[in-house]
Amino acid sequence: MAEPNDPSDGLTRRRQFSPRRGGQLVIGRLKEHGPANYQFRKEQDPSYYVRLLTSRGERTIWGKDLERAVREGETKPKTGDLIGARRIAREAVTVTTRRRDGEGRVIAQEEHHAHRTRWVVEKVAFFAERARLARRLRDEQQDTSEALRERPELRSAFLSVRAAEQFAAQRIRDPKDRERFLELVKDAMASSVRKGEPLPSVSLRSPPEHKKPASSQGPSQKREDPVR
Amino acid sequence: MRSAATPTTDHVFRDESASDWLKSALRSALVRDPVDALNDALLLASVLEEHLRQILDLKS
Repeated sequence: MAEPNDPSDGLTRRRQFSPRRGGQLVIGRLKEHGPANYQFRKEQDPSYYVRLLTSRGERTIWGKDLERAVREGETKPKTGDLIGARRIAREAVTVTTRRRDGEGRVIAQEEHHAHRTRWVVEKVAFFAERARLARRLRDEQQDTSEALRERPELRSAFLSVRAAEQFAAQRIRDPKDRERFLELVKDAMASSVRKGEPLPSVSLRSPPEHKKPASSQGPSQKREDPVR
Repeated sequence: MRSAATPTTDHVFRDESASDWLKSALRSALVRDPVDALNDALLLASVLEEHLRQILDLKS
């Protein structure tokens, strides 16, 4: 969990935590948070910590992204609040260190590989609400338009499921395979919603001005893939 | 750095935002053996956290 080498630039690759394994949700009362050198050791790199009082005692989590996660959290968590903190993605980054001579010319260059973890930090009520929304997303009997009226932020999740259904209808012949595929997509979407991960950005396409011939490309190839 | 101090028992009893349930539990705990009371409170916290995780459907 700790990331002593947590660079802030040089992004090269990003990986989502598995929806099944996920990043652990740490639950506790927010005691304090702030910038500090990693593990409060002066020889370590600058980082950011969040200290929680959990049911098993105090716990301190570290990560540069925690500062952004606390500051930009949807529920604006404050000290004293019961919060949840979850790692949602781990990005592989390459940091380039350059040594320069007295005149500023680069005389040596070295690349280091490291990881940067992205966090979600929200009041626990946020995760409870997301759990409710995830159950709604999974509920096939739910009237979609009614759900979208109540929770417009779920639009992208519903659209992803709809796109997957269209893709399956066009591309997967075996009904069992089709069903299995849709189950996997719905599970992944519900898991993302439940865990507070950012939802995929899907926008409705405007009706085409001229009818184009049917494309061989499936709907899921025209936008970012949902969480796998 | 922003930090929250641990409240005292007096603070909890005076705190209008503290729940009646908490005040009642604290009142009954203060007349018990303090080690037993803390043990039970820690167990209660773990059980309630597990209950919350069940509601959130998160087993991590």
